[in-house]
Amino acid sequence: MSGARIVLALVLGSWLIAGYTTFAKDAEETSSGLFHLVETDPVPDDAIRVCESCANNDLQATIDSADEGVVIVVVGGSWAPVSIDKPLRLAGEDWPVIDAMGKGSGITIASADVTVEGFDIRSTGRSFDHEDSGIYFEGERVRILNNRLSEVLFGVNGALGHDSEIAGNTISGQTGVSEGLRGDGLKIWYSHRVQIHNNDIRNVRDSLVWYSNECNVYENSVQGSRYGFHFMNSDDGVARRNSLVDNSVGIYIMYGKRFTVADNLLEGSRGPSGQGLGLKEVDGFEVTGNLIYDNRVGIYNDNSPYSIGQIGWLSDNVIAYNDSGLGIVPSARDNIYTHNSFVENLEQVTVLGSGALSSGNQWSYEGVGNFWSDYSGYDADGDGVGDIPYQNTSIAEELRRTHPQLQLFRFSLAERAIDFAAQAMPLFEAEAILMDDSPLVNAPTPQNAPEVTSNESTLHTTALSVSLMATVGAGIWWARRPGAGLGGA
Amino acid sequence: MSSRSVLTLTQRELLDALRNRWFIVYAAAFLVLCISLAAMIVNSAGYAGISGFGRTAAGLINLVLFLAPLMGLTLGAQSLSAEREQGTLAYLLAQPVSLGEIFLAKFLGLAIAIAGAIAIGFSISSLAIMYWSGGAGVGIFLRLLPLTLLLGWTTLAIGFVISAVSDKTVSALGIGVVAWLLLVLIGDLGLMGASVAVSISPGMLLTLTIVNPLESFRIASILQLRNSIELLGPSGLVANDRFGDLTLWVLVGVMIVWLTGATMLAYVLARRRELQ
Repeated sequence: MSGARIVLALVLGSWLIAGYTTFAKDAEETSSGLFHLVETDPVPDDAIRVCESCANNDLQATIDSADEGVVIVVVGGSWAPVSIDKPLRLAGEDWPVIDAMGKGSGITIASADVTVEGFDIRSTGRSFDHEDSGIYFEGERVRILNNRLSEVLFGVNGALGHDSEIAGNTISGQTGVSEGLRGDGLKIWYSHRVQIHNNDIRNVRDSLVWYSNECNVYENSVQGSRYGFHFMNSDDGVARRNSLVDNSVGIYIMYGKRFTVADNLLEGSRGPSGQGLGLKEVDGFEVTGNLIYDNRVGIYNDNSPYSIGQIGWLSDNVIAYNDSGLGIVPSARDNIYTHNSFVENLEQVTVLGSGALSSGNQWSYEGVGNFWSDYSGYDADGDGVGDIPYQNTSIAEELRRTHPQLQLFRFSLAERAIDFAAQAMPLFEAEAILMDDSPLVNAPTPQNAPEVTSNESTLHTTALSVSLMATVGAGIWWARRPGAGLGGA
Repeated sequence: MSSRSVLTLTQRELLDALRNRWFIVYAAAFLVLCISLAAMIVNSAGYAGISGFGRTAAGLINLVLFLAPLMGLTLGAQSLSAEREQGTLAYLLAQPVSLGEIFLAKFLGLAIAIAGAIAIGFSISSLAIMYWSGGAGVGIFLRLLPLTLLLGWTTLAIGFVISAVSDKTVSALGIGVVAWLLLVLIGDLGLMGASVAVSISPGMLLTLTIVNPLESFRIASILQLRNSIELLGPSGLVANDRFGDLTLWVLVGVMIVWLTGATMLAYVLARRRELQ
């Protein structure tokens, strides 16, 4: 009997450990590491100090009576919403709270040259008509730095604010409210040359940059929202090294000219219109070095570039594990794809509409094509470029396109059989939707984009695997043990 | 019904399975194919750190769809008919054990054997991915384990029905293979063809498809590995509308209905046959 006890103890023990590892998973909240507080100017000695127990304990009155250009330091405490109508700097120390108690905006700025930093702003109203915002500003050179905004309808909402800066803020919308009914985390309207960086935005509707040229958006993190960043009619914009994870759409650019999208992480854009990067009628753009991972559609191209003579340049992107790597409408042309990696997308390139892709796109540039994980050619001369062209053909993909109901049979053996039959009998050969005549045999890897965060627990899987094997081993031992079934009789 | 005799008979069935060349071949094939798939998954990622559900990983669904039903159907089809052919069934029935006990023990024994083969294949492959990639993509096999076990057992039950009505092992095996082809390939091809030739509404197509337990498994595994079935087009949307968060449970429910239904049918048929 002791042998049976030892085996039983071993198996039970391994399962206990495996069970424990389920709960021992690190509960650490995912963070892209991009958000950080930005450096602010030192507070001068002649700054006006306001606190709950000071002589100056009425914040709004202090602002109203202050001269232009002064620095007001607010030390801790809890304050009613304020409005600022002159150039000054409002600096929070020890996170003073501005609680709007569910009514109106937190801080309203109606002047140029205002700086607001270090405030904790909570619970704005819910009126879309009044655009209740954590911070609303209308004025040039406004700086919104290192604030915490939570439970806000709109976060930072600015208009006519050229040369402003929005940095180091955390903005979170109302949880438990569906995306469409939340406000925008950021809304920048008619404000040129705005710097938006190192912000952390969560659970809002969209973050908008509209009619604003030359804006520089970098190292922000947006999660759990609808449009990570939405640029509309904004020329010469730059979006660099942002992390856009688990939104409906990562970055969407509508209209506008000369846009740069570089080194961003676009991950987990899901839902019926999920897209990592959407390009709608954008004229002249560079999309380089992005890591585009696990989206419904990696890059969606709707008629970009729009005007004749404009070029879309897409290079050095890693487009991996998306349902569809690229989704392109048949009329889109003048795009150059070079030195990208197309890795393991369920469909590498999908034509959104009937017919073939326009032949006006280039899938290689000066003899450098792209890496395709499903390329089945070879590189005999060892120059890093495959000797036969890459062609994207799958009769099952074509069938799915012409008969959408057949998508139900994805990954079925019947579907594989049809593809196999088509390969064996060229009679059924599908039309290639693109041809890359110099495909790369080694995958270019991301250089500067933020890294994908994996939430897989290797410890847990290992413990489970070992427990399973121990259990099977014990089963075999039991089966071979004479008479054990009779309870040791 | 005595639990002691069931236990003894189950042990005997397990020992028989370990000696059964068919079972050994299936288990070995499953293990080898799983490990090669693991190698392909690691290889396809190409560079450190990024892994996910891509076309290679999707091959796991195909692999399971191919082998698990083959294992279940043919082992199930052999079970009663082989004993009957060898005369051991009559010998056993002459002992103080009931047909119910024999039936239950045979089913349990084979179910455990199949579960063991699947568990070994999946756990060794998980460890292989771990060893090769250092962790990226390591969870994929085990996430599919519960559904794969259910598929193996469901097809085993269908195999028992075949076994209960067959006179000879050879004919039982033949019927098993035909049933496998029907469930895994021909049914789908027919439905695909029909949906192209005549207009079937997405809802109807969904219903006709998930009646097949193998298809229920396929759709459930997409849900399990991908957390959504938006990949499945119009019919996937219908499933979302109809069942919402319960979609996985509806599909699992279909498989459980097949499992219990086929087991009961097999027992009734076997009983009618042996006790007439």
